[in-house]
Amino acid sequence: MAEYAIGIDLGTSNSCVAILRDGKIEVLPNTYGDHITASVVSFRENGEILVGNAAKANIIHDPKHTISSSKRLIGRYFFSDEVKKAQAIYSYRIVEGENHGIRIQVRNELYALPEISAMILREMKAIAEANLGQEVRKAVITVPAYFNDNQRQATKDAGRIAGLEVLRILNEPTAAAVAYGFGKGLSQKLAIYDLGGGTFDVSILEIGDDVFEVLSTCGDTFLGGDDFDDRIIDLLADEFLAAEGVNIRSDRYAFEKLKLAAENVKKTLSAQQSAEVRIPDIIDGPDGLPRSLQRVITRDTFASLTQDLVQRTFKVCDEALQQANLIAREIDGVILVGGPTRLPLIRDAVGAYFQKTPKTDVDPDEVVAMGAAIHAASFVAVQAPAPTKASATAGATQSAASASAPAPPPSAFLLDVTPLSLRIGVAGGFAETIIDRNTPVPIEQSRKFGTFQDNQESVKIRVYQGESRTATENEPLGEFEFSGFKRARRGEVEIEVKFEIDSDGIVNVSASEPETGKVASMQIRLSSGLSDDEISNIIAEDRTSRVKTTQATPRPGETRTSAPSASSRPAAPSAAESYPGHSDDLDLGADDLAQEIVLLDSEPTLDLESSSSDGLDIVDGDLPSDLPDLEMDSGTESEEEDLFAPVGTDLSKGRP
Amino acid sequence: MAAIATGEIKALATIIGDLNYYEVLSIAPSADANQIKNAYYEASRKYRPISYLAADAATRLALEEISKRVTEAYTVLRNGRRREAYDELLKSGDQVRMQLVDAQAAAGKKASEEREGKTPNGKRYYALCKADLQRQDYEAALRNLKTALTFEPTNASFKEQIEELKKKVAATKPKVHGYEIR
Ligand SMILES: Nc1ncnc2c1ncn2[C@@H]1O[C@H](COP(=O)(O)OP(=O)(O)O)[C@@H](O)[C@H]1O
Ligand SMILES: [Mg+2]
Repeated sequence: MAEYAIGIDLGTSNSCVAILRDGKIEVLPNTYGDHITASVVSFRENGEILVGNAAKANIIHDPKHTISSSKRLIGRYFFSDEVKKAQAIYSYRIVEGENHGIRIQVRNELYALPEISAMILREMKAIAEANLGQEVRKAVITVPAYFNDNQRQATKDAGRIAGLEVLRILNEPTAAAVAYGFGKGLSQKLAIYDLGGGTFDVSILEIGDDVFEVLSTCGDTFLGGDDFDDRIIDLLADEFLAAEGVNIRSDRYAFEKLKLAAENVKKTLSAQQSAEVRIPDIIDGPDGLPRSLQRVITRDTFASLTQDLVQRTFKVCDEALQQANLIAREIDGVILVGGPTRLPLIRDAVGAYFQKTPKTDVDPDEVVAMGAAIHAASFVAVQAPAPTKASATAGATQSAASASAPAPPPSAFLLDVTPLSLRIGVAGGFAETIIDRNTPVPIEQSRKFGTFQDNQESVKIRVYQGESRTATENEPLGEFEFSGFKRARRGEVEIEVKFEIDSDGIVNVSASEPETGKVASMQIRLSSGLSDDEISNIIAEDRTSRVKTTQATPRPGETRTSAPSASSRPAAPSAAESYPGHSDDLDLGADDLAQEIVLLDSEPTLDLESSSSDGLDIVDGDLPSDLPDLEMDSGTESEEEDLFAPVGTDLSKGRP
Repeated sequence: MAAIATGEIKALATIIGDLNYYEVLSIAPSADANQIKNAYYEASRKYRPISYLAADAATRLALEEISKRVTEAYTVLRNGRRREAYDELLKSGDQVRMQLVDAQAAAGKKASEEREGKTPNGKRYYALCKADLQRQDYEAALRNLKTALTFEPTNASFKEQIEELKKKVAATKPKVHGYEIR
């Protein structure tokens, strides 16, 4: 039996699974015959867990226990803006976990985000298995190009929890380009315009036959189809308030209905000139009598409501083109990805911007999974004769013959870039660029740093991703301590820090003292994320197996329990103490002068932010040394401590 | 493309740190932008670990090492100014690697030097161009900048600014659509 590897587009709103089989790409349908499955998980009273369309249907009736858009939270810190926004929008409970992490509280259980994602992945795996009639263990999973290291790591963890070997974390736009260009021998420059439910991504690629080179990628993680819904919701709610004197927003149930209706209006407008909303008895009026909502919305109305959102996508496109050193006219083809790109409004605007009619021959909902499947296949194709344990005898002779000479792979070579600048924290609360954004990966760079004080005993290496010179305005990836080097005057100890970004976009950092050869190394682990032990516990506890799949084929080796297993983990905190204590071993950037470092070698780095990847337009007035700035004043320091003051405090001043 | 013997891969990985970027990409120091890109693609086909899934861990590590150097070489050489800075580094000593931030900083410096012109005449016409810009006379500015370029034909900054100006001129030219004339 051939071993299969699948491609999974794990989307914020919807997920999709595909496979390359006998040279053909197939998008695998779920039992309802749909090619996409809602990325929604619903926890039922009886312990069962629903995933997909059945779960989505529960949003209205049981919003507290139905988790949607969890991808927006994966790999984030509890203090991030994203969490605040999610808390405002979603009815499920988001609480703080260890190390500033996030947990979803469902009744008296806590779930980490990778565990929620694992449930969706598990469903996608089950869909594949039902279609293929055999177990599937390997997958390529896609992520938005804009995902930082934390988010990538957490997605990888989700795969592991779901029982999948994650062959590769692949960027969604790259996958889309592969689906479009694979095997066509193209020589083209492409723009991938991906407007999803909550995020917008654009990537510029160059295809040279079997090579897919990403020239640049940019995105806005706060812009998507949901924002278009919000405009309709606002219009309807405001009009209703003016006419009837009741605010639909104040009633959760009514509001969920309005939300659903607004999304339907938007979708309908993809196919029709106008759409009617009609919600009978949506809410009671001031007199206690029920009121209905009825309104026709035309494409023109919708266009004027959302014009600025569309324009915002082009700001991002401008940036991506500039970073790729191209102008819109030089793009040979535009590929649309994501549900909202079905809107004629978007299609026309994109066409006008790139002066080119976008390609419509690939389905915007499926193209990413298809590309992932193509890439996944190249991982198993080479090992095709490698037998599984069960079929070892049958495959033995073949595999012996092929071991020494790997077959030439039917590959696409994907040359991706890192979407965000990689930085290291230095004295003064700054973050120095080590690897600029849109640098191709894999890449390794090293920098020499010196101690900040006389006789310093240790240094703290803090690693960030982001585009700000101010450390705290970036995403902290993690930190580690390095000690045991010689004691000397400030700046005399030389520490070399090596930074590596691999082809999955995952970051590794190590430090060494060249004089003694001492090395400290770590893979930057998601500081808010799960430790290996925690992941093992989650796998052992196997709550994901409570997912009640509707897919036909049972998963091999799985015990189905319908009742919740007795949990070995601590119960969820009560509302009064909903912020469990965090561990102190990670203080994410709080300055400790005794462990501070300064950049040693060469010139002070320019802030490369404004420069394109090809180095045009460097700001020239900005050059003088940074060093005077590095003298700390206590003001900065305390402010800094404030920024990271965690746990249960007023979050509104937590982060800018 | 044929797979390369694992022995060869490991050997390359051990010496790749001593190779300059042209050697890493197997191109001549005179290679043009197209040749650099093609060499990068070729090297990627040759050394990306995905071509060697059956290989042992040591080989895969070696491939990763090579891939990282290939990317680094490409990132420096694909940009004219970074490449110039790198060529100077090569000439000046025994260094074969250049950290990307250094390459970028050097390139930035070059750009600002070039911006205002390097020869007396280049500088003179650039100054005239700037004065034109102040008056928002883009066509005159373009003419003066083009003249400046004749004195410094290799000045990449002048070329870029000319392109920018051309766009400006085109954008500010009134469109002659009959119905638009009031
Ligand atoms: N036919 C349609 N017309 C307009 N918008 C649509 C249509 N179908 C889905 N959408 C919107 O697409 C968004 C989800 O897009 P999707 O690409 O699945 O997102 P993600 O990649 O974030 O999961 C939602 O906002 C949904 O309302
Ligand atoms: Mg998507």
